[in-house]
Amino acid sequence: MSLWDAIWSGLAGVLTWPAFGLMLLTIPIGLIFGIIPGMGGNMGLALLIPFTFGMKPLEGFAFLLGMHTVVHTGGSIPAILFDTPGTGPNAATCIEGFPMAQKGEAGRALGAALTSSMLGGIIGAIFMALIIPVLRPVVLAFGPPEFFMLAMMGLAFISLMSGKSLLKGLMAGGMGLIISFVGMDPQTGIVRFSFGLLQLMDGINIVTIVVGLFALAEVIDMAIKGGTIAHTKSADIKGTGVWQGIKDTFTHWWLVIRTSIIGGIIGFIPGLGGDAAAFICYGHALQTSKRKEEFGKGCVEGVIGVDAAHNAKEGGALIPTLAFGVPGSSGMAILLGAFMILGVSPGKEMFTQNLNLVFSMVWILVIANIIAVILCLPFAGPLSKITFLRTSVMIPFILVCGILGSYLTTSRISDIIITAIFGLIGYGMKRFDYARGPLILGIVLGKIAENALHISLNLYGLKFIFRPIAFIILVITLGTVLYPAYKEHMKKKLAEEGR
Amino acid sequence: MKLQNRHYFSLFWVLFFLVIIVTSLGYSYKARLIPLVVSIPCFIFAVYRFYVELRTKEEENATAEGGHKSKKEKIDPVVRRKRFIRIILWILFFLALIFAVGFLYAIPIFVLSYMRANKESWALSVLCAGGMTAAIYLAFIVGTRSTLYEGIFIPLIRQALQQ
Repeated sequence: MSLWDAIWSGLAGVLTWPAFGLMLLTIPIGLIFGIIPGMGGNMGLALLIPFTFGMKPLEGFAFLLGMHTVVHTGGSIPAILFDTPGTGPNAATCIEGFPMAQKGEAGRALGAALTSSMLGGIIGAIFMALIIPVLRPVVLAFGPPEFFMLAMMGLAFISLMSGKSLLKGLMAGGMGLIISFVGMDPQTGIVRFSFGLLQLMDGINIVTIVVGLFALAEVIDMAIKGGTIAHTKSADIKGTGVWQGIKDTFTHWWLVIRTSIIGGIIGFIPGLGGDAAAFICYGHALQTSKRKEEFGKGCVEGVIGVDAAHNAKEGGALIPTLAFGVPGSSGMAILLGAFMILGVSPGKEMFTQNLNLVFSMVWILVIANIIAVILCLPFAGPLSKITFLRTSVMIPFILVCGILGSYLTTSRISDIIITAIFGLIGYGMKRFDYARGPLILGIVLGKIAENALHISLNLYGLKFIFRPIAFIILVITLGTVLYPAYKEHMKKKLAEEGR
Repeated sequence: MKLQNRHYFSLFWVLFFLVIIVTSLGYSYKARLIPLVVSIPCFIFAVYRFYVELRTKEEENATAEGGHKSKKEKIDPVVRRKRFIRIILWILFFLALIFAVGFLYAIPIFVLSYMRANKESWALSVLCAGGMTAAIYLAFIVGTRSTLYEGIFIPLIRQALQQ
């Protein structure tokens, strides 16, 4: 089968009945699983898999992928409106999305998030289709040294995400790293920083912390300030900002493409996950923005970069799952199991005999993302009006959603206490201007960095730095940190000479 | 000199990293290496920040780099403290309710009491409490068949009723 035949037969397969109908059925389910904090795509997949028994492979893919693809799109909605991320990667949407809602620009943020999610999903799918022959040797060359360098690259963004005070940002990042070390150390088998508490032996889940750090902190702040979430009544009361958000996404088309490709590549690399993709792309959006000073106060570029990345990641994550049987994320691991139930084995055959099925998946990613946004956009305007409700109505709602989400993520009741503690820390950080993004970035990347470092040292000693891909990533990381400083220095120098 | 909230919060960071350093020292070399590499510089930063906070006056701090926004927000500190304590007590009340009677009963009780305490109408309070409980019941108990935490007393009551 030629490539073009596979592409068109893949599309025809998706558009036939009942595959298309099954996909239409599960897209709203995926959105709902994303919107409700603590549910997420993995739970959705686990619940839907039993319904796929007896389905043909294509029908099963449409049913499961249709749901899984749009979960993060739904997850951005509570992140923007209530500072409560629907899923882990949506935590990065909170950083700029919620301040936009506070400025009365919830509609604009929702418009930008939904449109960039859709474009990210489409670009990620195209990326998946195009990149397979090119990146296969690269992904096989990725080992612990490269993972470590990628984690370092992500951690380098702490300096950019620190806001006004670098020192406070570094301290927050340090706390995040320490939190990521809580629990069993896989290298030594020692349980660290659990202080004898059984509940901490498995570590602390990121959603538990994010809900406290953002949602609960916001509840406390709202209760103190009163009024409404949106501090202004003038701007977006009719929800007209949705169109502005859509326009913003197309204005920043180059950022959408860049973050989608970065998201796709991170998805392609097993073990890094959606949280890392979202935060690394947030850092990239911040680093490349001409309006750096607006970041942290509600900058639409921060929303666009993050939302494009986490949907693009799904396309990238499918590649190693299908090509090598190596799932790119926990969701993909569940999908891999489902593929096997449906009688499809990953490997070389997927790209020879079953190429039309691979392209069907690409089309499912594209079509599901478009349908999800078509379903959500009409509601974005009315939803944005929620931010103009009184805090006495909003506080119980956010508190219930946040605490319930924290519990449902792990089903450990003790986690709600951890959430409450991080609520207090988050409020303190907000009040005394400690950036919360670096703390989350530290949690996301800390464990990956430590494990990869130990394994790299065991395997190669300090020479691991000079492995080709690791060294290239190191150079990019140094460039990421040093270039803005050099640019700033040159700007000052030129200004002085001009005087 | 009277310590203010910002001093206490700076001190929290100092103590946090100090506890981490002391705890790390009890682990094997491999297990403590990275935590110490992270926590020692962070401890130094935290001590420096605490020193800076001690030396900075409130007015200077509000405008200085990294200073908080208390001046801009214009909320009377006494009112702020009262509201802070009030919301913390509400959160604790909600958590205590969950531990006592579980999510399905804690949610309507909390929503109703919070909204009524904040002078919302009975109709709206009942509507929100009932609506939220119904949505959670439908989504989790009926839809996904999840087991929500039932608290300490509900299983005991059920057991007593069965006997």
